[in-house]
Amino acid sequence: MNRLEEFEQLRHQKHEISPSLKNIVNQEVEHYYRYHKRKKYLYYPVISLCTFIVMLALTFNVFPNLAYACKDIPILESVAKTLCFDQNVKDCIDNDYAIYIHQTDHDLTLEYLIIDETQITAYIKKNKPIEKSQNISYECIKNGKSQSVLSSDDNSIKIQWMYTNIQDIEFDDYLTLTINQHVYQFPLHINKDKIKKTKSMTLNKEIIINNQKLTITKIEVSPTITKIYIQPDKDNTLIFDDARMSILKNNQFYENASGLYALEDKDTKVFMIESPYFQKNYTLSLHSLSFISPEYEHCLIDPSNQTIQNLPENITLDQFEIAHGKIKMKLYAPYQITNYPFVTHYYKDDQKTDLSEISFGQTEKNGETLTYQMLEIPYDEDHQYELSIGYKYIYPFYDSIEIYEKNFK
Amino acid sequence: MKKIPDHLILQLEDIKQSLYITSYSFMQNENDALEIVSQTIFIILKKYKQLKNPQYFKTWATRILINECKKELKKKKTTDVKSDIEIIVEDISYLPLHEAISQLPSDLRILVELKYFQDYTLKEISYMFDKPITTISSQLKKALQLLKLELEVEDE
Repeated sequence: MNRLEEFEQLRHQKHEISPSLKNIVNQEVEHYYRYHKRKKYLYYPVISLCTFIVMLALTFNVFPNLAYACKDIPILESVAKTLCFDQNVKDCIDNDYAIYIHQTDHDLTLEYLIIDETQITAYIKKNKPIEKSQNISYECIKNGKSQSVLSSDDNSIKIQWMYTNIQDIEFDDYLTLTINQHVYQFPLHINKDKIKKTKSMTLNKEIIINNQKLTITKIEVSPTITKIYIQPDKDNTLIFDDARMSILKNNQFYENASGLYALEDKDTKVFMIESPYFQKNYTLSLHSLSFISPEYEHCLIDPSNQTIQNLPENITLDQFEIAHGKIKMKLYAPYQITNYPFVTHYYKDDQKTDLSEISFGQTEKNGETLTYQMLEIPYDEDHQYELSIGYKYIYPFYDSIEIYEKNFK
Repeated sequence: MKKIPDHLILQLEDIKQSLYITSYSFMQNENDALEIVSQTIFIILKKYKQLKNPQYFKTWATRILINECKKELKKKKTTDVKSDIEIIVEDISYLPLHEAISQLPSDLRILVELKYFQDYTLKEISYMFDKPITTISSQLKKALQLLKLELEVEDE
């Protein structure tokens, strides 16, 4: 049989067909219907939902005011917060003391205001760098006593107005900023009735350290700041100077800034820290307390021996020179005791006089960091001079106070 | 969800055997061939609305099947040691014709199957493989040469 005959025979030979082929079409038809059912009841709804979410996210991010407008609608509030990427908007939705504004006037955008009973803070974004933007004046209060602080960098301006009570303040209709004689205006709509109230808690917690007694009398929490009132005991031998404390907020510790306190009355001191207003419970931790010794208020300058009498143990006199009607001295103090000038005034025949110039710095000596201060005092040999040394005792101290929202009034 | 038209089911019943033979010719084993036919029928059911010219239904279905076979072979080739090129150098002309055909590389084997056993025209085959007629024609000539089979390649 030649190849062609072989081919013809093969062509007419019947193929063996698998029995499984018999129902293959019906099987696939059923498979197809199952597939369509899945598509109809699972895939399409999931895809539609995803598309809806993407569209909503786009809308909220392109029009942040719309996201902010959702803050009073129960479910939409959470949706807007989740889908909006702008942290400012998220914060404003989260905290109803914040007013989202996002209004632009030329190169500036007033992003939002944070308002509480004792202060108002405006956050302004620079849309492009503004040359010589240190020449800024600003106004938003028509009537009422307030203090203001402005901080500015290349990208933003933050202005804080502090007052005693918002009810005593009359706001302008506009927040007006003048930068390099260019005036920017942003409309202000402040509803004083909607301002979050300051919450207060009486503590009267006593602290005794090295025979010095202090009482944490109360805590006041407003949306922007926490105020801690500490009253020293009248029988203390040392003057209460400073306290380091912190609160835990959003898994981050916030400390009171050094020196950021104001005298409430003659004795009580008020310390300010970031506010945990929107947290239910939190811990206030005390880390250290410092006191100034009154015994170093009058340290006699002895020109004949070129020394200072009654100097605190850790403070050393390095230079002493009398020339051209002036006493020049250099004092060293351990950095741990102070990193600030420790002499701010002196006495001339019991008459208190402030130093006209304060020159100080830090240096290394024998492996120890020291704070030095240069002193220059006008000298007349017929008079007696005494230095007042603000010598601090800093006591490490740790105590934590659990604060519960239910205890606030 | 629209019901699958009866005529489509009938058409599938008509061509399923031809699809199986083509698939078997490619895959050289029953299970793989059946699997490919199943996949092809499912794709046809999903895409039959895309078929513009119903008279080419069988050619279109075969094209889908060939693509599926190629995909499957591509997957398998990553594991198979023996390649088509190795087979092609062997002399197969001394073998009985059906054995010689089965020893051809899959691309050539399927061309012989489609042209001489299922009577597709070169034009239809070129559509199925998405290749020019001249390429198909020269590949067929090569296959016949290997088989020592003197048949007409050109279409009537």
